Amino acid sequence: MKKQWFHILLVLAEAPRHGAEIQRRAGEMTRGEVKLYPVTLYRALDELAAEGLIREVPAPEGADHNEKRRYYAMTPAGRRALAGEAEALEATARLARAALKPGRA
Amino acid sequence: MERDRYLAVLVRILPTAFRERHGEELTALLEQMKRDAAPRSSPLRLLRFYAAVTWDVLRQAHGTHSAREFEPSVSVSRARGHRPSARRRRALVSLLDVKLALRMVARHPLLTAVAALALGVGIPASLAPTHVWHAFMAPLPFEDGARIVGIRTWNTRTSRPETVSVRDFEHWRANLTTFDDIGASRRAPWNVQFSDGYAEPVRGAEISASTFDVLRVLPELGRTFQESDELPGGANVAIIAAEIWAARFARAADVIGSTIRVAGVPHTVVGVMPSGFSFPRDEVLWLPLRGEGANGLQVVGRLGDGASLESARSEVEAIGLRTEPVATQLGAGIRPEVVTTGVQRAEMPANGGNDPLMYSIQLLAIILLMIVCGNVSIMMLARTSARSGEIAVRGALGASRRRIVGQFFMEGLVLALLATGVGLLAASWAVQRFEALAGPEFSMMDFGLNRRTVALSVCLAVLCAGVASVVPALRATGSGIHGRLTPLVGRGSAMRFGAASTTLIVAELALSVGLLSYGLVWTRTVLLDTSGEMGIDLDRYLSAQVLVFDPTYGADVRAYPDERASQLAALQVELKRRIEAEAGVRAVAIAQAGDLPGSRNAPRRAVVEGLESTGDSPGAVVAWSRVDVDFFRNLDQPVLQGRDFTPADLPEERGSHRVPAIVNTTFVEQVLGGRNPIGRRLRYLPDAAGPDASYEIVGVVGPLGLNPVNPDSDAGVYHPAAPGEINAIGFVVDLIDDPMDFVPRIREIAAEVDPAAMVRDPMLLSDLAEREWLGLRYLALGPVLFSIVAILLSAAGLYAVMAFSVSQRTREIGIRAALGASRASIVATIGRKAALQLGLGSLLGCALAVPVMISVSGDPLVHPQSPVLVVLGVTSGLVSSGVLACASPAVRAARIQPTEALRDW
Repeated sequence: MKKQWFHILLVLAEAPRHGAEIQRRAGEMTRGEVKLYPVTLYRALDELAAEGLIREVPAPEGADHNEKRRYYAMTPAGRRALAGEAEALEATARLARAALKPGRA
Repeated sequence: MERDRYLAVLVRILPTAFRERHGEELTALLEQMKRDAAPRSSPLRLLRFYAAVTWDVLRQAHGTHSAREFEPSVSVSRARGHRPSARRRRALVSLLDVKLALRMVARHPLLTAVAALALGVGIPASLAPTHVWHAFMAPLPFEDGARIVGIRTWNTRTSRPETVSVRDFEHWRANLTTFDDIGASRRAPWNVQFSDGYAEPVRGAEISASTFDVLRVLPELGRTFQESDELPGGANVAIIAAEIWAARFARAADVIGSTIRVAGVPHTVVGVMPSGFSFPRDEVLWLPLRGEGANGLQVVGRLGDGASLESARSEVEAIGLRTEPVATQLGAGIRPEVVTTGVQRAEMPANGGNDPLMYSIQLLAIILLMIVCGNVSIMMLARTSARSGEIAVRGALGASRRRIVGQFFMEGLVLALLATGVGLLAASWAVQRFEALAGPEFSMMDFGLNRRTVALSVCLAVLCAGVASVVPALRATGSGIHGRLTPLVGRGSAMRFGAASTTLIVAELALSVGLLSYGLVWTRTVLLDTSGEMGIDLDRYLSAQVLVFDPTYGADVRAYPDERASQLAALQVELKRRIEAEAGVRAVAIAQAGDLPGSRNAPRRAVVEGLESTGDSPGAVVAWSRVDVDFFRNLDQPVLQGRDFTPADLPEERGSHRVPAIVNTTFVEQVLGGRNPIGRRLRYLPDAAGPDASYEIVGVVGPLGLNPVNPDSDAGVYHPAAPGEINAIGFVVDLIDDPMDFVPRIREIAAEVDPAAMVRDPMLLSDLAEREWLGLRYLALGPVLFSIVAILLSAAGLYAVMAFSVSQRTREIGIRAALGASRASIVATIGRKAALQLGLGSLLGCALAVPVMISVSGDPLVHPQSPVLVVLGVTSGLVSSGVLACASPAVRAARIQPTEALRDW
């Protein structure tokens, strides 16, 4: 899974959001490590939607309807994909930790 | 809030479907990021932001293009069944090619640098003639400017425009029906004194009220002229430009109604024109056009609805015949005609737009560019041959020839476009420098880069990319690319350089010898510091020019009636007396303004009687100066032989005696061959500068800055000029203190003596000289730059051919080495072709350069140097650079080990 897909799914796991919010929140969650540039972001959103991992949803209650923004939410397929990716990452991290254990050459 | 145009352009790179879907949000996010990135608009952070988002767009653009078939609303199963890559359109050139091309450009920095320099100089330079031409010929920068045309009287015998009188203008205005209106103007500089008492020369024009209607401009403040302003005896009114309003009135709203003194006469300001307006050329002050007998008008008209240049032309010709003055003039070959304002401004024949000279210059420039292209092509061919393996593999894997050629084309295109971009930026900088140097004279013309030139440059870049990359690629993929897999296994490329590359390299070498010799001569000439050889310390003197301009007779004093000439004479005498009386002034010397030491005097051909040469160009080119009788005394210049001028030499005292002349030592050496000049008679070959009279040489002076660029060639003749005979009057003031401190005082004195007298260019004599000769330095830069490019190209071409030959013949060299050939003989075998090309090129170059050089050294501006020596020096330098370019491949050839070369056999 592409890095930007993972971070977008991570943000959408919390709540449905629009593009600019996703960008801001991804930055916050990674303490500025991840910076999603606009074209990368919107392209990834299109790709995720095409893959069925996210879908467009109506703007939530209380949102400013004057601003024409598309809100996205994670689909069950997206949730599964994120969980799978997290597991894979975890396995990789375990391997790395094992490799770095003191006493191993 | 204002939108960022750059960001808008960036977003437009993205495909329409993506833009329609996300454009608004994307733009808002970009703007937000920009605000976050640079809250205090720190330029560095802003730059980083722009770089990052540009990279983001470029990196992702390809994906967004290919993702256009994505339908986000489709179901997961459908979407999975429609992978975008399967439906990607097969284009001749894709963004992948752009990426590959960029990588290739970065991987071969030397090739990139040489090719980019060549194309970067070549493309803009080859478009320069047509660019300048179009700037000259552009319509006036006013509303619907293409409908404004010029009406003039043309002398078919002299091929020059004749002066247009007020009578002609009024006749046309009353009778012409194809025009909405016509207007006339006449340029005249005036001395203007503003309310703060400061007097300065101002570029102005007398202008008819109708001109403002023709141009369709409205004033910023107040009004333009009315017909009543043109009546004789009417109130004196003036219109000023926005720049005068800002500089002299601090943009005060109550400027309307204030008084300025134009040539000493009070005028009321009735209007302020908008910023940027100037007409007929670079004027900033306008007075109403008055006067029955006035002539020298420039007439413009706005074509009426439905009228064309042709219909207006035939009407003007028909109307022009009806009045008697024009009818009689017609006998003298003078006829009225309608031309575009560009033609009118350039004072060229009406059909000048089809000037064959212009087209041949443009053609020559394009041919030169094609030579440059050909050379880049050789380099690309060499590189292509090194990649024949890659081409073969790609071919074997199913890439079509079209696809491979497309990729090579893209590589060439990226290179050419990069080079063109840099070249255009450099050209734009040069244009700005030129405009700053040229001053307001060209203010009506826009020499800046325009869409047309940029578009033409891009077209040429595409053409160059085609010549430089498609030809090698076609050759590389030519006779069945699969056959190239065989050489790939170890024999090197199967491609060969043909006679075309040899011809190109030889042509280029020849051209380099010619250009470089020419460029070197000029460079040496303009870079030499000659201040020690001029015989006068130009830094010590203040110079100023005082000009009297008569609206009827202009500035040419020869046309002045006696009364006007005696006013001018009185002015000169009084100014000199007043300046000399000032404290701190040692002396005041006077000469015709253009003849001051350090200026570019008008050259004339002089013949000394009894010493006439019988060549094609008889006579010697000499600088010709008109000076006050006290000129040499006041500049501390001793007369070395004979006598100085005296008041008895002036026309009134002289009677029927011959006009005397004083020559300088260079004249004695170069024209007289060291013979005694005193008493010899001198005459000029007839030209526009003066009559063919005979003069008697009475004295000899030392060098006096007649040719600062080349003091060795400053043969000159001085003649005495009486007050009233020169205008503008050039003053050279010798001061005890800092000369520049005296500038305000000179202005004051001039304003007191004659409010109409204009003080121009008060500056150090050395600064005046510097300004006069600066253009020459820029002129010299052209050939030098071109020759550097030509040399680089020919060296790079030689290197490419040589390196290619070594890589191609590795096997052969290995066998030779195995059979016991010495290194020297191997190098000789490899280098034979390069040596032949170098030799042929140099020989041709010499043959080309020697006549060029001989003609150049005849120019008195050029520092004398032996043409043959320069050409030989340049040739040997060029041969050395060629040998140097071949050195690395030759060494590589000599080091080839038989075991390695034959290993894979």
